[in-house]
Amino acid sequence: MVDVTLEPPHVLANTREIKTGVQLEQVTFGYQTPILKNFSWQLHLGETWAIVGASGIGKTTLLYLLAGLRKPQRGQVLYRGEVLEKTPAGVGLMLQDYGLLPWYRVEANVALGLRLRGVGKKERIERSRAWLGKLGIEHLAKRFPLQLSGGQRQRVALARLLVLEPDMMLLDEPLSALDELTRERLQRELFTLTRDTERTTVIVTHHIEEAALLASHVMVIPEKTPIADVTVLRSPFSDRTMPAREDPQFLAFTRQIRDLLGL
Amino acid sequence: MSRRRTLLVVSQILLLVFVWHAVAVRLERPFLPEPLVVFSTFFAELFGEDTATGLLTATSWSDVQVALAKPNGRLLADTWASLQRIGVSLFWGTLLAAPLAIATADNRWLDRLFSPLLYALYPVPKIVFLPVVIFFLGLGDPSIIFLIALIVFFQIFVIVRDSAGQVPPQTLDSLEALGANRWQRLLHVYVPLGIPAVITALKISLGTAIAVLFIAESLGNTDGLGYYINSLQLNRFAYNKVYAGIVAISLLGSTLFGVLSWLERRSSRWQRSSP
Repeated sequence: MVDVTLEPPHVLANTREIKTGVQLEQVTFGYQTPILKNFSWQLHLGETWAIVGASGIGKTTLLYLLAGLRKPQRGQVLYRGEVLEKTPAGVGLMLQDYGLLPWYRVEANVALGLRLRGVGKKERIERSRAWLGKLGIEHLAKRFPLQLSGGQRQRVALARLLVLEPDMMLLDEPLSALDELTRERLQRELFTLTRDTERTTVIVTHHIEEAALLASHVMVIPEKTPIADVTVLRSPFSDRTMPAREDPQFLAFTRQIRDLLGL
Repeated sequence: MSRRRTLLVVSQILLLVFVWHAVAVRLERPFLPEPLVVFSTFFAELFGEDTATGLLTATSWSDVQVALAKPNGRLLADTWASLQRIGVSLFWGTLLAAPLAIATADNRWLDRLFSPLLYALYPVPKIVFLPVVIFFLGLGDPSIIFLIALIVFFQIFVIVRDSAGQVPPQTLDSLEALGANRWQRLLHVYVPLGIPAVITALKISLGTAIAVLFIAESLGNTDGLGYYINSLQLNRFAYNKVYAGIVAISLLGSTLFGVLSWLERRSSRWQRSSP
């Protein structure tokens, strides 16, 4: 397993007093058909949320709203008390297909966010290298994304996200494209990364076990559109060690999620 | 090109020359000279009679220098004139088409304004406008350059627009989430994607461009390979020189094609799945 050293996000250090990370207030949003209707949700700093629900229900849309990439048609999204206009510097989004630029080498992809924010070349390279090292993919720095396996691409996307030291990570099906072996390994890494006390994380997944393993809060979206009422389950495991899969309490927790999904 | 491929190309060219030689010897007609005669005419026409002879009989480095100091042949000047016309046309065609294609891919309003018309006109063979272009611009360089640039323009517009239109929305979304503004989006998505597309488009339109150049230069021009070949054919039936001109235009075409292929491979390295 790759050793991931935890670093507190920089931005947060001075703003401890603000407790609420993100707030959705009576949000309505949709394209041709409504996806969210009068939906309210509050995330506190340091929490790790998993959103589970059927595919196509609007989980990704929820992430887009949190990232400020879509504007609510009614209601508002507040980030640290302010209305969200675009993606704030402290928010990192990782999409399902990782959104890597295929024409840039791994190192350039990882450094891209820093480059867009005007960080100098030397610092960019140093910080990117550091994260590539922490995720164990230093040797891939000169490759292009199409020359990587699914698991490697996933790590690159993660490195691109973490190099920005976000205080909120939004991850859309981060482990869905991986084989079981890589998946379990990265679940551990993600767990370590998200349990950084100050960092807020939202993980969209359709993998029930994964939600139960990683999250402090699980939002279960019923198969009924538009999304209005959801059930939130608090994980019985709130410590810093990942629950064991065969733990009866863990099994009961996943059973609970399955019941809510009608499985 | 790998060594094996180079060997294959060279041996195929040699085979072609051999077949040409065999047919020429068999036919014994003035309109099909033997390749060796054509190639020596080609060198003589290219470098000038004196230079070519000097080079062929040179026994020392100073002989070579003396030979090179003698005046060059007509063919070199005509090849240079044609190369310049092609270069200027490709330059203008690219300069106008590539930014427009990227802008229409990135902006729905511009797309509605330009794309339907440009796509509708794309299949029309632009050479049919030759007489009209000559009415407006007269015989000579402006007409030739305009017409070739027009052909290249459409080819580049369509190919760059198509490839830029295929950017997955997720790529643009994640770039926006990283904090990219409009210019950064152009710089990091559309430019890297547009460059290989431009080169591919140039490669595809090169054949037509040279064909049009040949036809246009034959009409009332006083230099260029088209003029060279046609003036000899029509006025003097100088078969050897006509063939030398064909060799020159073939070399010009394949050299440009080779350069573009190389650039295409270089600019699209990221598309290969093996490192």
